Amino acid sequence: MWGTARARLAGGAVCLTLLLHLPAAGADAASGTGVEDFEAALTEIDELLAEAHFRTALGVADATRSWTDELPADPEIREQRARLQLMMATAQVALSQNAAARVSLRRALALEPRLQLDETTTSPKLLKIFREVRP
Amino acid sequence: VTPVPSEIERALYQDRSHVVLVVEQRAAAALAAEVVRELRSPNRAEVVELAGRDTPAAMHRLLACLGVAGGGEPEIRARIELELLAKLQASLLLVIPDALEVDPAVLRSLADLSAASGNVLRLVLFAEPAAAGGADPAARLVKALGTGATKINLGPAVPTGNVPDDASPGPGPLPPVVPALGKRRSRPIAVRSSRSQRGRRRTRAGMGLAILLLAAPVVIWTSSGSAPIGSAVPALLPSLSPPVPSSTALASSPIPQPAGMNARVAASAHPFEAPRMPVGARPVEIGPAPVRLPMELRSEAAQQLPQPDRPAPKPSVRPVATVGVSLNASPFAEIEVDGRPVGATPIGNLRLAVGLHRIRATFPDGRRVDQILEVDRLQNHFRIR
Repeated sequence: MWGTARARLAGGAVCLTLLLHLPAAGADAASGTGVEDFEAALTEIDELLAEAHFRTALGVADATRSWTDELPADPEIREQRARLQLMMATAQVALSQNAAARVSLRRALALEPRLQLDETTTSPKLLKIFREVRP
Repeated sequence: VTPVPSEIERALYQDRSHVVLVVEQRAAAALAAEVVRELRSPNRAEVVELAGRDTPAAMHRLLACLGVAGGGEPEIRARIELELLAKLQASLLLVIPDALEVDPAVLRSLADLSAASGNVLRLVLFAEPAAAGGADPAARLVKALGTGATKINLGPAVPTGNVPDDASPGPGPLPPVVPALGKRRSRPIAVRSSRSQRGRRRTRAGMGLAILLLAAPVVIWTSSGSAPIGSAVPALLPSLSPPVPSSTALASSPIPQPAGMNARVAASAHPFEAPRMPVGARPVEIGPAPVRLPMELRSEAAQQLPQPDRPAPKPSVRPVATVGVSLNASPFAEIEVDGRPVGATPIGNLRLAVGLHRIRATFPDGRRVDQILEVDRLQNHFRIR
């Protein structure tokens, strides 16, 4: 059964962890160890999306984007940034922010021009916008 | 005639949601049948057996009344079904003759269900009158049902002309008469009185018999003069028989009272046997086959009720609280909420009423997942697995 008190507590714990974690992650990024923290942040955002906490996921993604701007533009970071934009687009599609989702998908394609979405497992709502913005 | 059924109807549909009828247990069955018959259309009324102390069993019984197969958590399923009834503006009236046998916790669960579903479920319970100096069983039932319940006492006698006047010489208590509802009023039910009342009546009838036997020769002598005494006395004797057989609850048809004494005796000796419903009877399907019917009884009942001097209270419309609900699934799924397609996940702004909802998720591979969501202000993010 979804939505048990346990699940709520777990969701709250995730949010709290993120809030406590982000400043430290920013500090780590500044010290050059940001790839792992970027990956950890992406995992957290992915979990928030899976649990349907779209607004929280979008907030965390925005914060992550701001501190990862300082990271060097190596291919691994670039791929992580594209995934981040894709996650933001997913949250925006869920919240019916289709214009913002278009912007996010364009950014993702700019970062990773060969970006493809699995048509069998990706939401048709996201696929539709992706097809619109894909060159 | 005391307008008892109108009182029941008003209590059920205007003042409160549940009533506890205080009446002799052996009369409860006949009265339950009468209540079911009068309140059945276009609503549904059920006579149910809820004896026992097991809440899930009671919920299964309720689900059976709703025509829903068992399985899962019965209380949650019952809540869902009642909420669906509420959305369809239908309702269910449960008549429980043997209410004292039911655990108060079960009654409390039913009352909670009723309250949670906006009083879609209404209860009519029966309780015996309190014994002298003893606890009041009806009070226990009302307490179990909470503030939505009220007690209607059918015990005190109401003198009426339904019973031959000469059967009860004194102003002693007579069986209360319960007429049918509203315009359909046709066959009043004579409810059995208590044993002490019967005893007093027998004593008074005996005294009346003695007085009349003593007075008969004088009356005959003064009225007919030379008529033989033996031919007049038998004509008087039948009128002294008890008006209502003591072993059954009767419904007497409203036969016009003839003027003559013998004709009056004949009328009282022609009881109409009410449809007997044994206490704890099997559920009775009343009305047409479809389970959920629009609840027009409230308005119909309001039309049938005697119009009071004060204006009728306007029905209060409660705003339905809604919350924004978020759903997601991996991989994505097409979602139906309460049978209504709402699109594919991710869904982040679906407005749903607070309460239980039936969700069906159809995944790209054809797999279907049915789940029940309880939505409230704190709990509105759901992951479908």
